[in-house]
Parts: sequence; structure tokens; C-alpha cells
Amino acid sequence: MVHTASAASAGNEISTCVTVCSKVTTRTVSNWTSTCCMRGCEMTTRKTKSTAEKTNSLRVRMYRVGFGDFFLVIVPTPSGDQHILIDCGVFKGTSGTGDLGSIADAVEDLFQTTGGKLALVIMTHRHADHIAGFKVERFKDFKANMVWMPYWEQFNDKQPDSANNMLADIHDLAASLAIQFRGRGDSDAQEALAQLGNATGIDDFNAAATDKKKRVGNAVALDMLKDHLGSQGENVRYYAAGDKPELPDELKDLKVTILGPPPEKAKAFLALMDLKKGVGQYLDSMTDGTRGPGPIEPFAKEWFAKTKDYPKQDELKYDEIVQRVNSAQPDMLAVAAAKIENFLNNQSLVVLFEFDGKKLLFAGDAQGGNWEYWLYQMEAPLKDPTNARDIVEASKELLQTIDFYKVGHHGSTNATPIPVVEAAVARPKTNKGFVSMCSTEKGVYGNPDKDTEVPRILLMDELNKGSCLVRSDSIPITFTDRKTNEQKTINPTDGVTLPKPKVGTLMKTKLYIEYAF
Amino acid sequence: MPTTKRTLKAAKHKSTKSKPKRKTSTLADVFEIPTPDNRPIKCYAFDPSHGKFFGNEMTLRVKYEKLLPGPVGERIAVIDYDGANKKFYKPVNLDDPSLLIASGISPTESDPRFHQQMVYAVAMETIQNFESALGRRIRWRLEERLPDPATGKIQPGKRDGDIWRLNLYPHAMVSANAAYSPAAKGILFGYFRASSVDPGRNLPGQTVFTCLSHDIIVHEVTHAILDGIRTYFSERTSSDVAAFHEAFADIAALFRHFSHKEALLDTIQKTGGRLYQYHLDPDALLTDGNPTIQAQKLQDNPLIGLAQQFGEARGTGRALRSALSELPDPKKMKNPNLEPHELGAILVAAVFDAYFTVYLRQTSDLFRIFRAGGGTVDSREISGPLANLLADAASKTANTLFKICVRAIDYCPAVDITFGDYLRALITADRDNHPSDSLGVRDALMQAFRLRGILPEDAQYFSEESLSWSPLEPGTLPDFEGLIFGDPNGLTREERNHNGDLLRQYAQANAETLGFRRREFISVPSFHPAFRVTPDGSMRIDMVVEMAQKADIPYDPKRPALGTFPMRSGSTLLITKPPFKDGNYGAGVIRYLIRRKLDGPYGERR
Repeated sequence: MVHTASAASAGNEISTCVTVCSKVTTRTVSNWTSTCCMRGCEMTTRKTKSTAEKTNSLRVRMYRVGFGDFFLVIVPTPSGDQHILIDCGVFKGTSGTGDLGSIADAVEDLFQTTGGKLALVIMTHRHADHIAGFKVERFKDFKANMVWMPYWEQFNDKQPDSANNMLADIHDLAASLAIQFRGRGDSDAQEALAQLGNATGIDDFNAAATDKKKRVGNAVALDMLKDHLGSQGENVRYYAAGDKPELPDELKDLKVTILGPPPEKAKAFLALMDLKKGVGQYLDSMTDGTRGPGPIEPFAKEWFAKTKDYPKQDELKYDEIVQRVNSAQPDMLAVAAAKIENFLNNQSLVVLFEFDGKKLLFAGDAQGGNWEYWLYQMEAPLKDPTNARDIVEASKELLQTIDFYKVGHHGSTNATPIPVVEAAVARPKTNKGFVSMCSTEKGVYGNPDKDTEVPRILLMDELNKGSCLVRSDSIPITFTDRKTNEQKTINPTDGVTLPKPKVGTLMKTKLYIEYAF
Repeated sequence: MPTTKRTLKAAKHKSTKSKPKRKTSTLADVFEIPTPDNRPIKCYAFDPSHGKFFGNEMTLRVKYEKLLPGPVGERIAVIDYDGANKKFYKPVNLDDPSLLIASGISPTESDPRFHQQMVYAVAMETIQNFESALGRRIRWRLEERLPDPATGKIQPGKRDGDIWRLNLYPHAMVSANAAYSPAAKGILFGYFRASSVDPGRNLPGQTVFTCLSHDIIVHEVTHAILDGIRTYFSERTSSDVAAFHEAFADIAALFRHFSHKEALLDTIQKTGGRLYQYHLDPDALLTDGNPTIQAQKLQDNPLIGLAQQFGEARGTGRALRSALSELPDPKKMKNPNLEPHELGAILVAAVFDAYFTVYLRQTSDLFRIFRAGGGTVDSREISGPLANLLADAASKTANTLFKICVRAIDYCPAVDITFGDYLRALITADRDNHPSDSLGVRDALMQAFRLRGILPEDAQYFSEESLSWSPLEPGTLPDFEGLIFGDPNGLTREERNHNGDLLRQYAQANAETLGFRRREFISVPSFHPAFRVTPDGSMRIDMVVEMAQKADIPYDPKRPALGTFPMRSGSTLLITKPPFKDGNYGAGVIRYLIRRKLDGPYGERR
């Protein structure tokens, strides 16, 4: 083909043409894209006794809300338990079934546990599946001492014309992209719409477009985080890798290292510079500027023809030709939507907690670029991941000593690089291993036939073998459905059960799983 | 008096007496007009943004064939279906008398029929150039013939994935891109709106058609041709393979520039004969600092830039790529972060370095005479006759190098090509065709590749012999009985089936020597006879055969759970038809065997 790093190839055709996706038959660093063995998650299970919550142990609680992160870390201190909330969101996803409806009850439960007092709130990034819960009214009764957000979020304030405003356009870009997808029913379009919905928190782009002044979707959640919990921004802190974070007094025994997102000097890792120009150009190059959004019509209707104007030959099957060309259409819109998705995921705040000799790694939804920055400590991102060298010793050592890992991006293929699992799993025999927690819901995103299912079966298998993998969809939950006001029970995903950790205890309630260690 | 068909027919009629004698009226009716050799068709030499200057509006002469509206010919069919708007556009009928007289529609951006006409003309011209270089009729990609799992036999006949006629879709999609797609059985050209901020010579937001860029058409058709010759170069097994496909397509497109006489003359005038210069001297001299009128602006050299309009429309302010984009730097090849087009640019630069070196050698005497007659090298004033001679030398040299580059394809390994392999192929192919190398082409190529750090992995010395493939030692493989070499117009279906079966049998029988695992299926994705005239005037006939074997390799032998990925071993064979002896042709002799094995130390590394 003729160019460019910004084009997409059509489907899985061979890529003499396009630079972006060709089938790489060698093993790539960040993707679990081999043909996987479709083994179910057979685990030896023992009923965990709901042992009394030891007040002096560190606890991590994962609420089952569906497809979304909602984590609470309870830190025992001399002045009593202190609470760190890491994300609170859920999103319906491509299938529309990602939101189980339990988030309101979960937030209520959080209020009961914490008394509405949060020492620290961490928003890893601004996707609906990490922040939608902050739209729940109850949050107005919460108070937080401090709110942490990823570095890049500070440029997404309410000043639309600020020179630094790199993110303010995401909403607009996503909204105009979504309008382009109107009327498309194919699966790629559905996935792209889901990505855009996740980026903006908007369900109905048509309605949102008619009332631009009203803050909707994620904007409402962000207002809650920045204005209410963050006291009009006064208590909001923005961090990138390498920053020394400021902790509230209650948590001074906690040691925190910020591993991601890459700092401003390394913004190439986020593909940040590309976004506005890239997505903007996609839109620009594909729409008819004079008549508003709409595809370019290169020729007037006088030039339109029917197949009967073309020669009749047995070898020329026009139906087939139409089908072949249609299915070879590059989905630039989908590429643009995916760009926004990856861009936001890569902003994720990646946090390492150390407390009482235990290490906890919360990776948000970090993807390739975010990981690469600290795993390899490189100056510039890799263009060809097949050429990755080994990760640096410091990162390896860190991964080998973690006690807890929050699995990135709900266990999807692009968020836990193979070398990370390899390094984390490669421990001396005497080591007690680690617990990985994955908040996910099967069947919401992706397709096993395309190796895109979330959670990725292959990754789950590896984590299951190498660590004690706890999935949010392994427990049944019961809650009040806000639409019908009736009690509703959701069963665990088939074949997914709660394991027994080597260290500490797991307990479950009707809304969450809690790990004490 | 020449014998016409009609008189022959008349003679037949007379002898058979099967039909009554036909009445012949006028002389014109008796003498049939001979079929023309070629058809003149107007097109852009570069793209619409170059306007009418530099001979940008040119007439190509493509081989004559009867055309149906489309144009739909024998090898290619232009089908103007727009996948974004879901519409067909009216097809051009190049056999319409008014268009025949006018050499087609005059270049314009607004008439889709001109777009169809240009795509047809440039694609046909590209095919012709390749056929003349390769010495055979090219064919498109065919689906791999695999044995029927039930019978273990290969079914004869066509397959769904075969491409017998390449479709060209001039307005297939909205995209700043064009792509050869075997799935779509053709080439999809995109159109898009130029950048609204920095569109270069385009209007902000104007619609730009990739199908009107001469370079882009040649580039994509070259992808399609290469895909028909080397089936597995489109599998991205290493960064070199993808880069090679791109580089090769760029090389083909760039060499076309040097066949555009008017553009060539203009550039020679504006560079003082130094064709490799980045910029042209402005028409009007720059007096102080900034240009005030357009004639004073420094223009890019159109000959070494690829797809100028396209590049500018995307807001880059320059051509998409260039023949000489980088300064030679042997370390750059080792940078693992290069994207295929960037890596490919190194190969392109190496080839064009060699080209300009040969051009300068070729023309050094002309420049000496020029200086002896009072001319100065610094002056950009070059006399008309000298410019003509330089243009001749430039286009002849371009043609020579293009042929060398194309012929080398037959000498490339079947899978996993590296740039170093291509250098070996270039040197070996040229030694076969021009043993004496009076122009010093091979030396120029070797030096240019070395300057850029491209070397074959296991070369012992930096000499022609050491940089060629070593010929197969006699006796290593048995001679090949019964292969049909056919003639330059191709093989019949029966001959193809016969050869296919024979080649697969031969591969199985000699699997280990050929570099394959025994008792596993070896496929023969392609075989082509090649006909070349040797320096002594005789004809050499070779059969170029690709063989391949697929194996599933575990990602990590220690952890089979990670799954497997397919890898191929492949071999290229050059089988020569022996000379006529005692009234018979002997068995085919295998001259070269170029292997890429899966097992052994080389396989481990892969």
C-alpha cells in the first residue's frame, strides 16, 4: 500500500498493503494471540470459611458489578481502618449485558463499610467502566481527603480553549464519530460504539447532541470526583510515573510508587500527539465538510450506473464483487474509535502499594505503551513488538515480589503483557505466590474465534496456574434491581469458582469478594 | 503481394467447395487492416497536482486488446464500484470511436471515466514492463493447492481463491490509502479529503484520488505481481519481508519516472544534469532572501519523490517517500524499531544510489566533452543536444536497473527474504544475464548496499563470487525428467497439472536435500518458465520453482499451553532446460537451490 502508520487494514487480509495489522506469526510481546487451548478453568475449590475479618490485616475488596472496576483497599492503622477506593464503574459493553445492575447496592454497601469517609480515592482513568459509579446519588454523602487522577486528566478541565487542553476534545471527537456510526448494525460498529460509549459515558449520542450544554455521562461522574470529592479541585492530585505522591495523614504508613502513566516527556508512549490530529484527520478526510457529517460523494448522481452498464460475462459476478469490496472496506471509523479507547486506557494511573511488607499492584487498564515505559525503561516506544528485549531487572524483581495484582483491563488480550506474567510467575519454589484479582464478566466483549474474548482464556489459564486467580464473576450476587425494585440474583459464570489462596483468606458476601492478608 | 487472410480463406473455399463463392467488392475489403500493436491512452505522468507542466499529461502506449466498457480486458478489469457510497459509476468504453481517435479522455479529476482509463493504462503498462523484464507472461496469485484430506490427492481445476483477472476498483473506499487485497481479488484505491490545514498544492479539503497517482497505481500493481511470483512474501514473518514488499513496489514506481521523457529533460535542465538533486533550480533567480514570485520557489525534484500529491494532501508538505530519503548509515539497518516502510526506504535508497552511480559513470564522458567545449559544471545551462543524450542515458540505465531488480525476484528464497538475500539474488541474476558487466552495475550495487549495512549473513568476502548464491554442485540432486518448459506465452492447463504433479513427486522424493522434513506434505505454490536471450544470442530457458512446507511450532517448547504458530520452510529451485543434444532434450538440470530450512541451526534462530 501506499502509506501510513495511521491506516487500518481490512480484516485479516494479507498486508502487502497496510502497515498496521498484518498477521504476525511470531510471538508478540503484549498480546495473547496464539491459538489457545480452550481449557476451562478447572480449579481445586474448597469452601472458604467466612473467617472473622481480622481488624489488623490488610484487605482488598472487589465488588461484582459486571464489566467494571470497583475496588476498596482497607488499611489497618492505629487510628482504625482507613479506606482507599480505586475506581467505581461499570459499562454495558458490546453485548449490552456488562452492567449487572448491582452498582447502586454496592455503593450503598461501601457507604455502610466506610461511614462515607474515604482517605483516598484513585481514579485510574476516565472510562465509564471505571467511573460510572460516581454518578450514583449516594456519593454526595461521601467525603474524601484526597483524590488521585492520572497526570493527563488535569488538561481536561472545563476551559475549552486552554492551550493545554489535549483531552477536552475527546468528547467532541467521540460524539461526532458516534454520529458517523448511526445506522450501522455490523459488529465492528457495535464494538466501536461501545468504545465511544465507554469513553464518554453516553448511551444515546443523538440525545446528547441536541443538548450540548447539559453535562452528561462521564462528565457527571468527573464532576462528582473533582468538585465534590476533590473539593473543587483543591484535593485533587495528578500523577505520572516517577512522581512522589502526596498521601493524606491517615495513610502515612503506606508506601506508594507511581509506575504509570508515562510522564509528559515520554508521551509518545500514549500515542498522545496522534490523537487529535489522527482522529481529527480521519473524520476530516472521510466526511463532507460542506454538508456536515456525511460520507464524501466524489461524483454527482448523473455518474451513477447499474451493473447492466457493465459487460456481461460469466467470470464477472457483480454480486460477488460488491460483496468483496464491501467487506474489504477499511473501517477508519472503527480505527479512530479504537484509538480513543487505547489512548484513554494508556493514561491509566498504575499504582504500587507497599504496606507491612506486602506489595499490591493496581494496573488500571494500562495497555502496551504504559507498561513498556516502566518495564523496559525506554526512551521511545517499540514499533515492532516482536523485537522486544528482556524487561529490565528492576521491573522483573518487582514483579517477582508482588503479593497482589489487579489484572489490567478486565483480563483482555492487550493489557497484561506476556513478559509480565512470565516474570511474576517465575519465583523460587518456597515463595507463596500471589493473588491476582480480575474484575470481569464473560461474554460482554470480544469473540473467542477472533482471539479477542474478554477475559482472554489463555491469559486466565496462565494466571490461574501461576497465581491464585480470583475472578469477580466467580460468586453469585444478590441485590435490589433499581428498575423493578425486586431482589435479583446473578449466578457465577459457568466453570468459574473461588480458589483457595496459599496466604491469607478469601471471603465472599452477596456483593463482593474480599481478600485479607 | 502479401497474402491476406481473406485470400487464404477464398482459396480454402475454392478447394473445399463447401460454400458458394463470396462476392468481393472493393480493394479495401480485400486488404484487411492489420491489428494495431498498441493503443494510445492519455494519463498523468505524476498526478493532477503537477498541472500541465513537466509533460505531466502524457500518452501511454499499451498493448492493444479489445476492450469492453470498464475497461474490461483479458488480464485486468476496471470495475468502478464505490464501497463507501455503495454505487457503481458509469464505465468508460475505450473502444468508442470518438475515444479511439482522441486517445481516450483528456486528463481531468472530475470525470470518473478518466480515472478508470488511467488506472487501466498504467496497470497495463506496469504488467508489460514486468513481462519484458521477466521474459514470461505473469500471472496473479493462485490459491495454494493442498491435498484433499479424504483422498490425499490434489484436485485439478480452479479454486475460489484464484485470481485469473485482476480487478481494479478506482474508487473503492474512503481512505487515504490504496491496497492490493487478494480477498477482494484486486486493488482498492481510496479517495479522501485533503488536509484542511496544510494541503500543499491541493485545495484545503479537496477530494484527492489515489487512483490518479501514477506512482500509487504502479506501486499497488507491483504488489499484485510480486504476490503472484512469491506467494509467501506477503506473510509477515520478519520485518524484512514486509519491508521488502514495500521497497520493491517503490523501486518499480520510481524507475517509471525515468521513462517520462519530458519530465526527464526538464529535470536535467533544472539540475544541470544532476538528477539526484533534491531540489530543482528555480526558473527565476532568487535575488535576496525570500522568493517573491512563484518562479523563484525552490521545487522538489519530481523524479525522486513518490506520490507528491498524496503526501502533501495529508499535510506533510512533501512527497510520500523519496528515492534517496536517507543518508547512508550502516547502523540504521540494525534499529529494531523501524516500521516496514522506513526499513524499505533503506533498500530503495541503496538501489537508487547504485542507479545514479551508474548514470554518472555512463555520462562522465559527455560531461567531459561539455567542459572541453567551454561548459562549466556549476552552470545549470545545458545545451539541448546534451540534455537529450543525458536523458537517453538516464532512461536506458533506469531500464537496465529495473530489469535487474525484477529478474532477481526469481533468485530469491521462497520464504523469509532478507535484504541481504536480495543482494545475493541481484548479483547472481545479473551474473547469469550479463557475465561481463561492462557498466559496473554489480559493483555499484554492492557498494551501495554495503554503505547501508545490507549484507548477506554468511558472506565470506566482499566479492561478486562470494555475494552470489553458490551454484548447486552436480550430483547433489538428480536431474529432472519430464518437465515441460512450454513457451513464453505460458503453459496450458494440462501442462501445468503435469508439471505440478511431477514437481510435488520430485519434492517428496528428495525432501531432505531440498531442505524439508520427510513424509510431510510439500506444496509447490508456483512455477514459472523464464526465457532469456544470453549474450551469445542463444536462448536460455529456466523453470523457477517455489516449494514450501508448513509446520506448527510451539511458542515455547517448554510450555505447550501457549499454543503454536505456523512456520514455513521454503526452497527456490532454478531448473535449466539443457541444450538440444542428439535430437533430444536431456533432463532438466538444477542450477540453484536456495533453501530456508526449519530444522538445523538456521531454523533455531528463526
